[in-house]
Amino acid sequence: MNTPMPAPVTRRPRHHGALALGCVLALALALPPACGEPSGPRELVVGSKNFTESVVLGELVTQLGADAGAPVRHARQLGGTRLLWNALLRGELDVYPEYTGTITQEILAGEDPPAPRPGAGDTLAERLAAHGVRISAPIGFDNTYVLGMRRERAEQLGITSISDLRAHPDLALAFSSEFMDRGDGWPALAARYSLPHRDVRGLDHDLAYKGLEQGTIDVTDLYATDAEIRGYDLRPLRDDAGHFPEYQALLLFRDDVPTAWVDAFTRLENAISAGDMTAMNARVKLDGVPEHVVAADVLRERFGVTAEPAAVETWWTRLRRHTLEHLLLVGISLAAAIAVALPLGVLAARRPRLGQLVLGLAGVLQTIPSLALFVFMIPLLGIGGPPAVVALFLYSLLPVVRNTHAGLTGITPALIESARALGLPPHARLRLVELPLAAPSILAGIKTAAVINVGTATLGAFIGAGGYGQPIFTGIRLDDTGLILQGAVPAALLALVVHGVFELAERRLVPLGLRLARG
Amino acid sequence: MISLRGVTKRYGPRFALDDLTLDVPAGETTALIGPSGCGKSTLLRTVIGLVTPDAGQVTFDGTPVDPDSAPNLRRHMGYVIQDGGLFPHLTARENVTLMARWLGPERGWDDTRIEQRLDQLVHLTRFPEDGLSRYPCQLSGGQRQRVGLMRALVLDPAALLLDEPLGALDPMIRVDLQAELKQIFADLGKTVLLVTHDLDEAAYLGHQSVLLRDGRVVQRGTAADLIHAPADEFVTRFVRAQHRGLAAEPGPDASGRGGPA
Ligand SMILES: Nc1ncnc2c1ncn2[C@@H]1O[C@H](COP(=O)(O)OP(=O)(O)OP(=O)(O)O)[C@@H](O)[C@H]1O
Ligand SMILES: [Mg+2]
Repeated sequence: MNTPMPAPVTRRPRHHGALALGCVLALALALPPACGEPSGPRELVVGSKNFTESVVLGELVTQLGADAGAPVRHARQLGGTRLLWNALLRGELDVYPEYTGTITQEILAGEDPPAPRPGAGDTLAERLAAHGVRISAPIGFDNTYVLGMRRERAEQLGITSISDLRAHPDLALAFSSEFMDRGDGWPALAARYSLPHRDVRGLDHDLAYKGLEQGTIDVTDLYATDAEIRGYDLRPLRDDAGHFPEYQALLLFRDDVPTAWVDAFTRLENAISAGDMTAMNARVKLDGVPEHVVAADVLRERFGVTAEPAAVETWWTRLRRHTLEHLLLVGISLAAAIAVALPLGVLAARRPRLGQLVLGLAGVLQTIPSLALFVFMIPLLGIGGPPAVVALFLYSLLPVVRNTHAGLTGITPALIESARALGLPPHARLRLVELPLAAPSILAGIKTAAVINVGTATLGAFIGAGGYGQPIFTGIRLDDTGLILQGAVPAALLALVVHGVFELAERRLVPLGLRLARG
Repeated sequence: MISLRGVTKRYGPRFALDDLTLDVPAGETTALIGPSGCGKSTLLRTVIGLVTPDAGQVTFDGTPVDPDSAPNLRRHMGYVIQDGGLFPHLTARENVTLMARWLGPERGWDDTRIEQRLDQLVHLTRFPEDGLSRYPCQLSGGQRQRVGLMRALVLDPAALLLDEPLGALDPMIRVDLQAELKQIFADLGKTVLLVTHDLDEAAYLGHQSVLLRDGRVVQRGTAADLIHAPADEFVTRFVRAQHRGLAAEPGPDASGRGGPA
């Protein structure tokens, strides 16, 4: 409970900035559900990480939920582990696919070791329960590191497991640099299995696949369910000594998810083998089949579930949706930034000391890498539209504040003196003389902010805010240039349009006399 | 009308005004002259309250000029700054009527009255009517000066402060405008405080001239007094410098019209 403070009557309100910021936050929170917080009846919100396998699993969960009658939404391809875990804790997600290795190595890594009392609080499930999170049984595959060989060559040499490699010391091995460096990577693996190979190189992953294809390389590291296993017809070699940690896929979900829904998606337990998963990944990545179609096919074959044929978006409706989302992000954040930055710029011009502080702070905001700024917002505002709007808002402040300040302080002193000598009070001076004179500079600042904003808003997709970033991120994930262009081209066009609109606005808003004087 | 008592203004170690005392009589034109940097503009600024003196007092019609009273007093003083100071984003008409429009009908300035006033001023200053809708950058230097003057006069102030109103004009126009200004001052019968660095202009326009040096009054009187009864060596030198300047110019009538009034 807050104790209300008596409002100081004598002091004039000076907190326009804070007030406006409050308004922005309120606005951001009021964004339509498509762009932000769920509202209305309980919804099952499924999350997935920014890689294909996670999105496919998320799609499976989504369709099983829909089959059980849940109003379900899939917040697809969000950033990384931390982002999803925090969203789960905050209740913005109900369920998402995760891996045992990631839970122990990343999510719970910073926590105290398991309680020493025997039988209490030391299993994974118990440790997660402390966070209000439950865990499903494994889905059925372990997406850990494996070593892979061309099937043909492996069959020829009779190799099925890593220990079989010992008998073939002349094979050429090439590993990703990450694998060469990891604690459980090549050096440890070689020691564990007493592998005698001398021809071992660090190599880019894509080059390694090419090398396998051409036969210059015999063995490389993979994830157990990589699409490339099918794509290059590779045989994963069994980790028969159990060297690699387990990355069993499973589902993490909140303990307040209704049982009926839990029952629906836990049908995935022990249902999908590494081969199944590889096949699904390959259909998406190599054949270009959309994730929801791949998922629907599997559900029909395995569970006889005919998922509601998800309204297939045409190219056109998708573009329209992304455009709308993007415009909302840009429009709201830019309008709010102008509403706050203009008064701040005026204040900065009126009070030089405070002005330096304001400009300094706005400058510091600008130095935060934009992606980091988006991620910083998540603990405060969760995922989706609101944090993206606030991040974009903060990012748009500096150009407007700086140009307003510069425009006002750059006015010829003689003109200020004239206005004062006429007897105009400060507010009238500002409105009738100073702001019109500073208009060219202010509008230029707003234009800069708008164009930057349009570009930066593509990062919103990283935290689930949609927009043109969505196809860009999907395109990057699927290595699909066409898809990347579906986001990048409209974003570039929008930036041009915004630029043009502000050029026109300049023509209308900059007083004619100033334009004539500039020649 | 306007009086300064022991007014001092320092910028760093320099005195722009140094214990200066001066009375500007009502209904007359007082010309401030003196070399560049002697404090003429600063004096005008203290009168209209744009500069607050470090010591001493300025009164306008008996009211002390201070930061509280200045905004209101300014509506009773018309001020034309040294560089004209027209607002480039407003047309000539808008520049002139800005203050009246801001005051608005509730303070007596409805559109009809503003139009009437504008009409009077255009006639008084002989400003071309079609120039009213033009922007400052589309007007000649002389026209700009007239707009500045109209703007200063729009509220019919009791006093007029002019800081080198003709400084930037070429000699021909300058001579014409001097004659017009003299006529306008005579018609209006207002208290005028006018800055110039030209002794002849001071003599022609001013009932009295005040010669400043380093922020002090060196001599006050008619221009004839300055020439024929210089208070000190500096006055003599100042007068001689002005006349030698004129004598150096070719032409038989160089000192011309600008003789002692
Ligand atoms: N705002 C200011 N800051 C610092 N010094 C100033 C300021 N205004 C005037 N001065 C100084 O005060 C002195 C008087 O200046 P002022 O403008 O009154 O001179 P002036 O007589 O009008 O000169 P001019 O004929 O060149 O216009 C000058 O030395 C000037 O440099
Ligand atoms: Mg001056």
